Amino acid sequence: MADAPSIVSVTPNQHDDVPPASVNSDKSTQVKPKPRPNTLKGPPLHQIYALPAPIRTFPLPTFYPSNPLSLFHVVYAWVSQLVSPPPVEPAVIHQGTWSSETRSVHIKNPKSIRALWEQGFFGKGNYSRSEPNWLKREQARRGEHDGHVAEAVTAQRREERKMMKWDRARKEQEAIERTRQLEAWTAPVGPAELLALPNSHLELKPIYSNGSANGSVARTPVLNGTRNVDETANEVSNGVPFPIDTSVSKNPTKTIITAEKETIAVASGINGHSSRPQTPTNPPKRRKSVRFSPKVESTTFQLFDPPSPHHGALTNGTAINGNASNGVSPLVRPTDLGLSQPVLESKVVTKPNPESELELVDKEHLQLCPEEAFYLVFALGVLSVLDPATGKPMTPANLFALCRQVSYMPPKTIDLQPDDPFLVHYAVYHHFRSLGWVTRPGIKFGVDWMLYNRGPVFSHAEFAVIVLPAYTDPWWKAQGRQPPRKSWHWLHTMNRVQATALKTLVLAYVDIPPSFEEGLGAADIFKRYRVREFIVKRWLSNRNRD
Amino acid sequence: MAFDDEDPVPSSALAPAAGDQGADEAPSLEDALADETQDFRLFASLFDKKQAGGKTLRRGEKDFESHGTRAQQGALDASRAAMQDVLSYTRSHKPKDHTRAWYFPDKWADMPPAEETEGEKGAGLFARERVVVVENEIKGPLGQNTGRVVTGPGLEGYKQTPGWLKTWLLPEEALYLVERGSLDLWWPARGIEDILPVTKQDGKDNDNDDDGTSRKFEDYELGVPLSFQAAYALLIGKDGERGKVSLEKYQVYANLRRTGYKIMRATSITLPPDVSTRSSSSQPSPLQTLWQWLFSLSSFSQTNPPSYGPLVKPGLYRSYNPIFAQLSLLSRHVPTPNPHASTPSPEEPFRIHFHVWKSSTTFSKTKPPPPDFRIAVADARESSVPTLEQLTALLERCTPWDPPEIKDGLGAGAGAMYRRLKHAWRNAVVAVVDRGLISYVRFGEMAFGEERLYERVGGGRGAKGKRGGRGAGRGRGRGRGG
Repeated sequence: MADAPSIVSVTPNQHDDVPPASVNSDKSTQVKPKPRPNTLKGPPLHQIYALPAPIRTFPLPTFYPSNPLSLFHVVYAWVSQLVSPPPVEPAVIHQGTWSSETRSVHIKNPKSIRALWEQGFFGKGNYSRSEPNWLKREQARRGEHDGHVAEAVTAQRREERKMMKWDRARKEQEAIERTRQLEAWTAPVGPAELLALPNSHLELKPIYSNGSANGSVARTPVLNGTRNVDETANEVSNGVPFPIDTSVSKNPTKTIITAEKETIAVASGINGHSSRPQTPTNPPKRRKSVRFSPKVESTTFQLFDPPSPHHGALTNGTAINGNASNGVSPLVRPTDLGLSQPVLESKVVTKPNPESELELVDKEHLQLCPEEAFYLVFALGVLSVLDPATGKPMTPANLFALCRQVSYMPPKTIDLQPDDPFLVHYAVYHHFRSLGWVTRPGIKFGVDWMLYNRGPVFSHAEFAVIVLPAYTDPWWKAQGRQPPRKSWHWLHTMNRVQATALKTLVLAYVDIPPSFEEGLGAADIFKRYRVREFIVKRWLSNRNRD
Repeated sequence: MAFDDEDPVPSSALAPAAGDQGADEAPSLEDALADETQDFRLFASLFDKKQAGGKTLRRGEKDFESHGTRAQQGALDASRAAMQDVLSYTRSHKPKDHTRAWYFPDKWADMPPAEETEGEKGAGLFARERVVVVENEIKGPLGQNTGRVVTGPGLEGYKQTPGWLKTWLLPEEALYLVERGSLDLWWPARGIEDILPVTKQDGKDNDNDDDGTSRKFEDYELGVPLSFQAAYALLIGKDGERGKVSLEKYQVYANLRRTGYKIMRATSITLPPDVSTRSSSSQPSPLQTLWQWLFSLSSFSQTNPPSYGPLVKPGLYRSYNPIFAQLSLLSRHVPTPNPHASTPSPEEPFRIHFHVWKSSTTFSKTKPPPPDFRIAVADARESSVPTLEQLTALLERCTPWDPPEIKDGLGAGAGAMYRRLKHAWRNAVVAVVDRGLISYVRFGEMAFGEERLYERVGGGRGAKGKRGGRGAGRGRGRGRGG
């Protein structure tokens, strides 16, 4: 904090000239073309993800009454399909293995993985956030192809957002600085001000010309910084002494320990534009230093990084290959490099050789939660689940029983109830899936299910669903079963979380039927469940008044 | 692509809105507004016309840290000075504005606790509950939606009794006025006939000058002014006690009135007759059956799917509609204007307690229009999130049918669909009071089954045109609900 003055007044000046140019060039050269390779390289998204379920349809060509010829087209298509009928759908039955340790179903066949992901967004890659693209990511990291992976795009977007915020803060800071300079030049009337006046005009010069002087001086180092990215590590060491020196000399109270703590951040923030010989403007009436240092920046934004250990390496790797973060502005890049360069080096240096020589094998599998697996088996019939013990496919009835059993903790083999967690959650899952929503687990949002329109690659989830059991049947009343009491605090927590993520909270009450006999089939069981949805939203009294 | 939605948008990052922030940050602005602190300079300008100096702070902007400029210092000083002005403002009562009221809890105690229904003439009287009589009348806009003169059929016996044709207040109204400093509540030491003597000549409010039959009393012979604490003690009580209001309800009432709403005690609504629950579950519409017939000429009867699936029969499909039609297994909720017979009657606290109108609506208190919002009051510690029965009872028995309207979007686009779903078919606001802090939550009865999304997403680009045309026609499912 104490060394802030030097940074405060310098940073805005530095960026006076530099960032607009660099930012703009970034935006135009880097940001725009980045999504484009996506569309150029592969088929467009709506083609990849054309099918809402892993079942193909064979629509007849459209008949236009205005164009009689189209009738022949229709007839031709119909006849040809009659003569050589397309395979009965579902044509492919995927194979999965039950994993009792993880209580999920693993799909190992790459084709099946792609199919299940692309046709209905089922499951999750076990090394990925959702789309199973570990191999692609890994290849991109090694530079085998200039891969376009969703995670990289996400990282890049975060980078942009970080830039935007940074830029906003910078503008604010500049405005403050301007005001401060303006105010510094009010007419000196009081005795203190008169005494504080400089003795000659020469002394005034630096303050006046600070902006331009700083800018011109700062520009060269920045250019250096952008060109010699690889030298950043060296620059780090170069850049460090300056802020410490200035801060120490300025504020003797500051302890060297804190200075050291901030060293990395400070250096990373300014090493791109390091050497700063001249002292910054020093407003006469400063009351308190402003906390606008690169340190705040870096610590703040590090928090947003995903916990994935690959993240740092990923951006760095691509940066070195000149792919992803080439266009990341020089303002930010030093932060990245300064902070994660050592990490990268240690990683790459320790085992670059064995890794690059090995052929990459896709070790990722798709994992389906029990509801997803059972839906694919029971509703669509496109999956068969193998018993890991015998290696034989399980019957849907066995899978159903297994899912119900393991939904308890510890698993129960007897005394299964109609309000099994599996039954209740599957009822909601099936309800929304059968309406065409892409339903995916919502643990990351603290809810049970997320509802996507068409799928996560097309749009953000709009609704976050919490499943609540309800016992309205007289049978349950006689049993004295009460639904769980949920506190208002819990509901508000849920609702707040969804509001920050721009989702709408939906309470899905599952009306649970009375106990049924053992031999009832799954279809008949689920026919007895009823799902009621209720929207929950905060009502703001000062927004609805007029 | 859409993985970004896993990033929370910290609302704190929005506070220093610099005007140029990206569009991705806009939404939680509403939170910033909700929690905004008051700008006292705006407030001060209400009192003093020549004050109101200083630019107003932008809403939502927070200046926590001094950055040493004189401009900021000036703004802070001005704000502080304005706050000082506001807080040091001396409120005075002019003698002619002085409103005195008396606490007579038993005047209307014998009235039947009649159910009052919204829309009836003179509804919302709640004569039994009115315990405070205003000596003169409440002046100014305050009295607009406050208090009632107890008249109406069945009240002939009370004609020309003391207190007749006076404005009588409900406990929350009286307490709010007392708290606001607009009402002087007195405890009567004598009977009502001495305090509000019945005047044969149409003298209006000249009790003190009135030397009719009874002798004239000095002020303090009639009673004593009540302290604020005493007013609370007399008017706050348990839920359901006659002539009292529970603390939570009073807090909600006072909060909404201070915020600028018009608020009155709720009357029940007339409901259409019940329908039996199961009849309206899932009957395929004729179009759907025709569709199925057309495109599955061979054989599938949707009646009995195999007990362990697959629900989708292997075969050749022309479109996704029959596939999703076969997937439909659980009965979907179809909202109807009539409440279901199986819906229980509402139980406390999940019933509507207050009707609330926006500040701009003008109406007379005897004939209020349909309210803009219906509010139930629940204690955050005593009650919990409503169960299914409580929620359906609240929505079906206490709130009117309010389906998504045309303005909520007719189109087939996702935005319009989201708006329709979010508008919901019935809605109610629950005010959750946690020891004085109020949080309002809106609950709405949704019906995802009314929006058959698969008709919109099913099929690739090839069948786009065909599907689009059809989707516009019946994709809404609107024909089914009513």
